Parts: sequence; C-alpha cells; structure tokens
Amino acid sequence: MCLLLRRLAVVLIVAALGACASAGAPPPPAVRIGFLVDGASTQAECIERLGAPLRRFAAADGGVVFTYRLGEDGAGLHPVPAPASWFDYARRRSLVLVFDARGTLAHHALVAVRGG
Amino acid sequence: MGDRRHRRVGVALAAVGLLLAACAVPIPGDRSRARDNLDDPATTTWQPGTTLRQEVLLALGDPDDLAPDERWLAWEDYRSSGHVILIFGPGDLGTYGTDDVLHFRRRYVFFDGNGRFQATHVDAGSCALPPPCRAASEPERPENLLIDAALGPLIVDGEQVYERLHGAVRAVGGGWTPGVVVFTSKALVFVDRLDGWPRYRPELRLAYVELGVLERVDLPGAPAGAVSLARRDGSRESIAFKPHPFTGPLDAPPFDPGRAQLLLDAVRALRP
Repeated sequence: MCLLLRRLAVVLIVAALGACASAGAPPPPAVRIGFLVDGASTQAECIERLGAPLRRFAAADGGVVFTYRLGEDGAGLHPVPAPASWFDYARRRSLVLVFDARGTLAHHALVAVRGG
Repeated sequence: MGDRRHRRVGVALAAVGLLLAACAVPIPGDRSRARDNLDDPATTTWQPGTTLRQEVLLALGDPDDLAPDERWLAWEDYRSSGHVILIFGPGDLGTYGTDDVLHFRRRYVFFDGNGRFQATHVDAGSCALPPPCRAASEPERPENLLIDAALGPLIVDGEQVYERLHGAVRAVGGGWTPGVVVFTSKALVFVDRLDGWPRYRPELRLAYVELGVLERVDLPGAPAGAVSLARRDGSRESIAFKPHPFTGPLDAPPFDPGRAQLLLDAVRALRP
C-alpha cells in the first residue's frame, strides 16, 4: 500500500514537472563568457554578446556596474530576461561586470548563487 | 487509579499502532528560491567607509531587493523544510499532515551617499506555510534592523522589542528632535534619527515602572497632539507624532493627536 502510494506520488510529481517544462517558452540561447578580459573588454562588446544587463549601478570614479542573472544547464549559461525566471533553474549564477569611466572592463565575477 | 493508568497505556498503544499502520509520504521542501552564498567569507572583510558597493556586488551578485536610492541592497534565501503526510489505511480513517515551515534569511547591506559600505545585518525568521507569510514580507524591515542594532546594548536579559513607531518627535529645549518610539516589554525608548551614520541612536529610556502621570497636552502648533510623560521624580518628557504619510519637515507641527493617543494607550497597557 505504502509503496504504491509513494510510486503514485513520484509519478504525479514527474508528470507535473513535465507539464511545466512543456508549457514554458524555450530558454534563451546560451552565452559564453570566456571573452571577458579585465582591462580589455568593452561595455559595447559585453552588451553585444550578453544582451542588456538586468541592473546597472553607479561605480566609483564615474564607472558603472552591470549585473546579469544566468541560469546554468547542460547547454551552458543562459541570461534570464526577467528576475523571476532565474528561479526556474536549479543552478543559478550571477555575472557582475565593473566598468571604469571609459567603458573598459575593470573587474568581473561569476558568482555561484545556488547549485554548486 | 489502576484503571486510569491502564486506559492511558491502552490509548498510547493504540496511537503507536495507528502510526505503525500509517503510510508516511514525504513531501520535499521548496528550495526554488534558496541562496547558498548569503554568508560568503567576503562579508566579514567589508570595512565601513572603505569598501565600495561594486566590491559587495562582486561578492554576492545581483541583489534580490534594493532601496529606490540604492542606499541598501538585500539578498534573500528562502527555503522550506518540507513535510510528511501520514495516510491511515486502507479504510477511511483519513490523513494527517505535518506543517511545512518557510525559513527566510535576508542580508541587508547599507551604503552611504558615496556608495561606500556602512553596515550589514541579517534578518532571519520562520513562519508556517501556506503563504502569505507576513513575517517574511513586513515593510520597513531595513529601518527596523538598524533601530534594533542601535537598541542592542540597552536591551536587558529577557526584554523583548514589541513595536517601533516611526515619525515621532521629542521635545528638546525649544525644538523637536525626530526619531522613533520603541516599545519593549520593560521600557519606552526614544531613538533619535540622525543624518549621519549610524542612522539611529537611543537617547531616552523610560522604564514603565518609573512613570507617573501620563497625559495629552497642548503645545504650540500641536493641540492635544503631544504626550507628556512624567517620571516619579517630577521631571517630564514630551513626545508627539507626525501624521501618516510623514510629510516634512518632520521636526515641526502639525502633529497627530490620534497617534499620540496610541502611545498613551500602549504605555498604560504595558505599565505594571
């Protein structure tokens, strides 16, 4: 009886997950971040390859900080179009880019938020 | 006596028997909004007035919440513990479920006007699901965290903070000083709101047991809008409140008689 109920619960959960996956829009294309080089990459290049950042913050000495939310799966890192859709991913990353006043990348970090 | 004991043993055995006969279906907790980096080692290295907002962002990533003027940013970790459903069968004896509990932690980081780190506080709590979980979404929490941090050294063992009333002013000399009235289980504390950092400083503590006459008074620009609190030694303090929403200037009349009455009622209720 117990075993039967547990199997039923697993089947229902799997079915629900499958329904969610098929109902959603396809994930945005994966991006590569290997091109990011501190002191060389430019703001325009980053926007071209990664899209517009989710948020911008003022940085020291006239610079700017871009933040992105990326979901990771077997295909790579996917920038999410809205903050909430980040939570659809079990592995979540945040990319932070700090540009100086001339628009050159000064520092960057790929922060592991969830999922190792 | 012996019959009663036998009955208790029987009931206990029946309960144990039911539990053994039950089928437990574990429902895993929700981790979809969990965050693992809230306690990143970098959080212990930030220096007030020195560390930049960009350094905080590089450590914690994109924030989950922020003040409109970016004077604070917040990172959130929500996770529920999961629960168990016990199914008694095979008949119609029914089901029993344990409660799922949402555990939340929020790290607030405060910055000055130049984007330099000032302080960080973690707000944590738990509440039973299903939502809405009021404790997890209470407004003004960042300000309350700063007030509680300022109050910390004043709070004695066993004393609890009950409520914080924003938009208060206290009479000092010929003028008014803005701040917050805090009700604890033992005293009323007036916390001054400062322009600098730290943003709050407790300046007046009135233990309920020391208070004598409490009354509403008329002051220039504040008819019945102020409360006079007399100590047993005869000295007095006057406190008033601005109406909601707080309109500037905060330290000038008119004041709100309704909120003054609220303060009086609270002190009367809490005074031993």
